[in-house]
Amino acid sequence: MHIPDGFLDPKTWGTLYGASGGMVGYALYKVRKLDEKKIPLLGITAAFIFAAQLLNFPIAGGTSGHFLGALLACVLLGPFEGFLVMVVVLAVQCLVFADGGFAALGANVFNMGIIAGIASYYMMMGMKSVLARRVGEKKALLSSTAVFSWLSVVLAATCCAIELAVSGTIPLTISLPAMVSVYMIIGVGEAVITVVVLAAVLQARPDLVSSYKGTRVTAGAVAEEAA
Amino acid sequence: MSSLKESFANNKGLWIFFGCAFLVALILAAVFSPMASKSPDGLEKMAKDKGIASKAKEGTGALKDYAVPGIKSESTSTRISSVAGVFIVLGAGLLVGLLACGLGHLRKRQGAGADEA
Repeated sequence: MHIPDGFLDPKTWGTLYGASGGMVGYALYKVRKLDEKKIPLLGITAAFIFAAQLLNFPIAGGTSGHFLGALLACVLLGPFEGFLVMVVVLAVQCLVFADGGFAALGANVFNMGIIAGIASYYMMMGMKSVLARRVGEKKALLSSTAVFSWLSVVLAATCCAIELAVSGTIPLTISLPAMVSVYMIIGVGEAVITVVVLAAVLQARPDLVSSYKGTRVTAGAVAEEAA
Repeated sequence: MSSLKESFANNKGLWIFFGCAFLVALILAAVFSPMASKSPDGLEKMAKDKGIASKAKEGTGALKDYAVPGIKSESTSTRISSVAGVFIVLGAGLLVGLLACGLGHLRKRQGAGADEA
């Protein structure tokens, strides 16, 4: 859902450039204590997400969808590191591959970095913390990630539809149902890929998953919580 | 950066993991990218169906539309541009990581200076 130039009016893309630019500054501030171990992980996660985004899969009605990866990046690296990874991917796609307009880059970062990334991450962590006490942290993380990776794509599409409507490109009554219905299907693919990759990383290197602390539902964990 | 070197000397498993993850990205780009569906994505399809597609302005980029100018074979063109993209994104991601890490060190040094004073 990379918005090309011409779909957004200056007040919309200008506002969203401001919001996204501000978030880039805040994210750089938040990750200033970045562990050196995370530097290669940042680059490799960005490269993996870029590669996975190349692979459009067909869905019904002559439409295709592709992986987004915003929530995956945030779950693996932390919300602000993950956001910066998405900024890198979106900026390269825009500047080198003309995928997404230059004026629309702020809007694309807003939809696919802030909404599908940071905002979805915090909602996911809310569900995870509720579930973790019942089913253990690993299952809680995987199931919350499944739900919110789906929702992250639907929410990003909703924002995209609203932005197009606010710009006067297309009425919301047309853009919203059209976008949401398609991305509800694409979101299923997003959830499957995100959960498979997350499960693989949890299996191989659970220490690299920033949103996973490795606590289990045991007497120790309960005691820790009580303390 | 010496601590970075040390941390990896003591942590071969981590390097192997990073290598494997990057290899997966390269394989996706080099082998599977030409197999991607050519159908429009959700936004493009809506734009087409609702008659706003003509409003889209063509962008510019060295590898516009994931193709290398001058290469006739579509799949070769897609493969090369995709692999190039993986390396560019890796480099840009590492740069952002270094930048963030550098900012932290700068702050730490300033913090140490303040403590001495």
